[in-house]
Amino acid sequence: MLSHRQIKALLPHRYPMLLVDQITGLRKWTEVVGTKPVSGTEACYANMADSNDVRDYAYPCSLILESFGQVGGVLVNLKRTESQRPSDVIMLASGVTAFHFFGEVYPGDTMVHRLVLDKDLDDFAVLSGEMTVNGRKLAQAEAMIVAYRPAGAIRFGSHG
Amino acid sequence: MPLAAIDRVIEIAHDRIVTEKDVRAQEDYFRGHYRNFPVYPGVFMVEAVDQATRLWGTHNGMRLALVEVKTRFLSAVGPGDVLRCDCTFKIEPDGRVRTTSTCYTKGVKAAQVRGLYETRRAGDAQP
Repeated sequence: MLSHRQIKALLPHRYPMLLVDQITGLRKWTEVVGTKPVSGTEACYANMADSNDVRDYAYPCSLILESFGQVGGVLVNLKRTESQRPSDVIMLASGVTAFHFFGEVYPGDTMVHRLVLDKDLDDFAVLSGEMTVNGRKLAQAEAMIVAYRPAGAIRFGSHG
Repeated sequence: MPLAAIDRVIEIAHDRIVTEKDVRAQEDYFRGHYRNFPVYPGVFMVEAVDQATRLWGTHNGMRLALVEVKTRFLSAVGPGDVLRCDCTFKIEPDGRVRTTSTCYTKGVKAAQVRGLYETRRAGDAQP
């Protein structure tokens, strides 16, 4: 198991964008399981009016994607660290094909992300997997692609 | 709202919506993405398309929920950029809605997002 502190050593994300609390399972270098509890105290619920519909409390799809990808990032980055690959690169989401949602996540739920590392090269990795809450599958990813680029190679407002 | 991904609706029509967001350096998420290299999280472009799609749905009397998304991130977005989302919609015979959307900054593609949505009734009990 990896604690939140240990996760911070492996991911560049920090508050409020670090969306993995624990790594509860790790099989080198094929599989990782990580958890992210969703709380009503999170920033995305800060301005909810009492009149909001119950479905307005569904956790944003973007944060589910981000949390899922970060759990995969822990596995890839741990492998990259142990194999002494270059560390002066930036980790960026490159694409998703395709992410299926079967239900919504609400405050009080704990997301459990289980990912498999399908491909791992120097400049990108491909992962697939699923997200469950209380054993119920709420999302499935066919492929999530994470790219590793030197900071100087990342261009803003242009193809990079 | 911290995840507010739409500042302006530029155009809304029966099969299209165009929105813009000012990506500001002081927005909280840049504290953690990343500390020494602020990059607008790619997934927030998916969020922008999702919010634009649901806004378009509300405008057309539909409450939409995302069931499938595919995306390609094409270039980085950072503080000071204006993120424009151009979303087009097609309603399938079964009532589901497909969107093909492109996000731009400075006229250059930053992301392509394809989404599939189902309609939901407001007030349905939390699953």
